[in-house]
Amino acid sequence: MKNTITAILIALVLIGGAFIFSKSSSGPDTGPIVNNNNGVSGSNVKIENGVQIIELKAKGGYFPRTSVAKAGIPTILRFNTSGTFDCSSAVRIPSMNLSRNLPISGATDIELGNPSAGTFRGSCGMGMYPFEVEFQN
Amino acid sequence: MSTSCPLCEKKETKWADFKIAVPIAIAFVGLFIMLQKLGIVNLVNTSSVTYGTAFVIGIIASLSTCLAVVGGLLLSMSATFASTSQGLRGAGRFKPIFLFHAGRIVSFFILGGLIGVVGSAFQLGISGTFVLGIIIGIVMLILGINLLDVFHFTKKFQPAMPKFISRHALGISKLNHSLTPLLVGVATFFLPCGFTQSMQIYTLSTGNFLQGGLTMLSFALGTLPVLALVSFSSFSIKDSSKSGVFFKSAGLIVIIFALFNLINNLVIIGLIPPVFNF
Repeated sequence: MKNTITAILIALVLIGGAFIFSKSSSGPDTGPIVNNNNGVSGSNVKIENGVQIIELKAKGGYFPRTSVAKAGIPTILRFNTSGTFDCSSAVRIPSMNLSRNLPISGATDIELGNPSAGTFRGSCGMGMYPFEVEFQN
Repeated sequence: MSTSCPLCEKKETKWADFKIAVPIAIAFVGLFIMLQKLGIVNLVNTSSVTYGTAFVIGIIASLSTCLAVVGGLLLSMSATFASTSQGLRGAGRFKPIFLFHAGRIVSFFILGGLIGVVGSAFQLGISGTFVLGIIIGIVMLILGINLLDVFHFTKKFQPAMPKFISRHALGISKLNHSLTPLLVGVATFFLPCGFTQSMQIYTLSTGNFLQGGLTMLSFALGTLPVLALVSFSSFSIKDSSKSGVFFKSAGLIVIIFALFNLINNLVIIGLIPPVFNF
């Protein structure tokens, strides 16, 4: 029982320490991402010079998780990272047989060609952070 | 229920263990999921990597989903070693655990240094990742199932486990006199863990052995407290009266992590759509 309590205390100290350390080393404008955007979003999709760009934020998952975009036009999937060390820095798209490591901070474009209508799925390299794009006609 | 029936009483104790072990396992997995949902991985806000931040990233990594892979593997190994090293006393019984951690820390330094010099990351391709993931998932599953019946199930009450599985599980648990723990420690460098991968990518940019090696070493040292806790808890608890509960809890947690890993492995090769989101 004593061991269990010690173990729990050590775990709490570690978690607390991680919180304190990262709080002090972070700027005031870089708070943690709120994990609530599960909904469909269109604001992350734009068309520039005839190329559709779908922007996803990659940190602790991919946001927005579900995007809606047009099918049949040249499309780029853009991953934005900022201090991303977790699994979302390794993008995995099985249908394209693609595995890509993202830089710790920056933007990475992945060309999708002219995607046909349907659901386009991907995840992080370990498979637990999913994202999908609904391509509609 | 009568005292003249020791066997019945024994059987009752066995199942009573599960009454405590199941809630413990559920609470542990619940805490694990909660940590992920709270966004523990977002605690890293830095873009520059110093040895200090590499250490903190290591701590966070050891509490992230990487715990399901490396921690789960380690828990299944150390609990199996603890439960089979009855005769060993003193420091000798910790040998496999020391070897694991030594293998992990030394290999992170050396391989990190090599990445810095060579300038390319040592990562397995998708098929390599898949095969390694499936092997580890199956090993964890076998060890986890084995842990459930180690103490209180006698052969009589044991549900017929396929012969080849039990034989393999026994083989794995007997490996504590070999160099297996050391090699498993080294292998953790290649296990799918997003943090390990992005630290490797960063290490690429260092361009020299010492800096690259020290970065990966700091990261490995950051993961050490939680991993040490996972491995040595098995040994500190094994002699207490609660050891039956502990090994059953550990077995359940290992089985859950094994399934989590196996499912995620099917996701990354595109066999099934993503299941989890943490």
